[in-house]
Amino acid sequence: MKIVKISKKNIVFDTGPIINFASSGILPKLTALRAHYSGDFLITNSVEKELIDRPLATKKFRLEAFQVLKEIRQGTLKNFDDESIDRMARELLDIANSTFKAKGHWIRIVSFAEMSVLASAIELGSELVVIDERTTRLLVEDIDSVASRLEHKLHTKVIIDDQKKKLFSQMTNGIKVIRSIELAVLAFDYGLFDEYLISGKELEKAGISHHKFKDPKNSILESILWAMKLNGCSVNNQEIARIIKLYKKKS
Amino acid sequence: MRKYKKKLAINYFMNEVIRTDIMSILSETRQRISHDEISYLKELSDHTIHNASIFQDKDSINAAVIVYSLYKILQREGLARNNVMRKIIEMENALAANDLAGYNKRIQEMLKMISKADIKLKLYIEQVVEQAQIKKGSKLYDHGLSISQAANLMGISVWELMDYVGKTEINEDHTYGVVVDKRLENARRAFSKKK
Repeated sequence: MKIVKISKKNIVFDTGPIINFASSGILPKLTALRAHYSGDFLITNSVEKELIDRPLATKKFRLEAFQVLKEIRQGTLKNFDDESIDRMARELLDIANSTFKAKGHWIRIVSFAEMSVLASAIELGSELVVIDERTTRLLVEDIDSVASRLEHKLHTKVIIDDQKKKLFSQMTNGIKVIRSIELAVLAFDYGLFDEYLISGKELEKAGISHHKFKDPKNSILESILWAMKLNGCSVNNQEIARIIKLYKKKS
Repeated sequence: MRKYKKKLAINYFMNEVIRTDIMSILSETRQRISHDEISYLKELSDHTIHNASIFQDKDSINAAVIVYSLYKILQREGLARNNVMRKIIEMENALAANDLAGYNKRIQEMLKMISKADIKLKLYIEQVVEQAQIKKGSKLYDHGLSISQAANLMGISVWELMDYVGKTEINEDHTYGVVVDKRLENARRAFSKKK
């Protein structure tokens, strides 16, 4: 077991948000954002495996995996796990995967890596967890909607074990979930994307019509949000429109 | 091919619900091919996804991947349909006789047939099969499994699945949970606090 000194103030990352930063080509922004946070960005062993081991064994996404590995080596992302986290992750996994039953069978809905993120947040009292995928996030925030989705999509009756549901909600109570998109907005707030700002004159010089870029700053924000969405963050069109509206109000 | 063989686990036990469903899917696949309704195979491959989501068994997953691969290959006339139909009948017969070892053997043979098609079509069969795994993985996620669980079941990476899911409308219909204003507020509060 690795001994890593970590700050009491920390944010735990699932695999998805880091993939999203890398796939969107803005992984260095995560490093820059880390400098604005007075704590640690943490990942668990199983998240690291999903981020690194698997893509390194294939050709696709190998380069991105090397880029993430650099962030881990440089300490932007600290790998942290211990026995109590491991134990709690297994407990959460057992509960989550025996809460919803269809056709007489418990549906194994989540993986160990995802539960290790929640277990870390519980054990370490983390300020936030960053999760891009929908199911784990909804298990924490609105467990009933997970059952409704399963029932609706599987076209079959889904039976819920109410005791397990309650237990899972109690254990994860207080966990605050954000997504890569909210982190990207923070990075935008800190001016980390200002290097992409381009003036009307420069656009003209480059032969680009600047009608679409009346508000260059908002155009950049919109492009970031769409990049995150298209790279797998579970955010819908209305939420993107809402964020842009909030910024238009601000400016 | 070697890679795909490794990914296809062989089962020697099959739930009765799954066995009946796969037999019905195979029979329908055969009928659709004989009626030249190849585009319907895409939809048919999703039918096994319901069982794959619930039982998470290799047989339902393999059936979904094979039917989807056939949809891709047969669209381009890359395989002799008679041979495909014959193989499907053999798979059906093996299942009807509860001969699971025989059924798994036929699955491997079917994959060999598909792999030969790549020479004619200049397609990389691994790409066709991987594409099928990613597509079906996205369906598992759409049906309510987590992205990591869906990727694990399909034997693909979370990277591949996220990349694909982002280009679909799967994430469009989430309307539950915390509103975006609140998430932003939580994020800003965490970053504004000192140690």
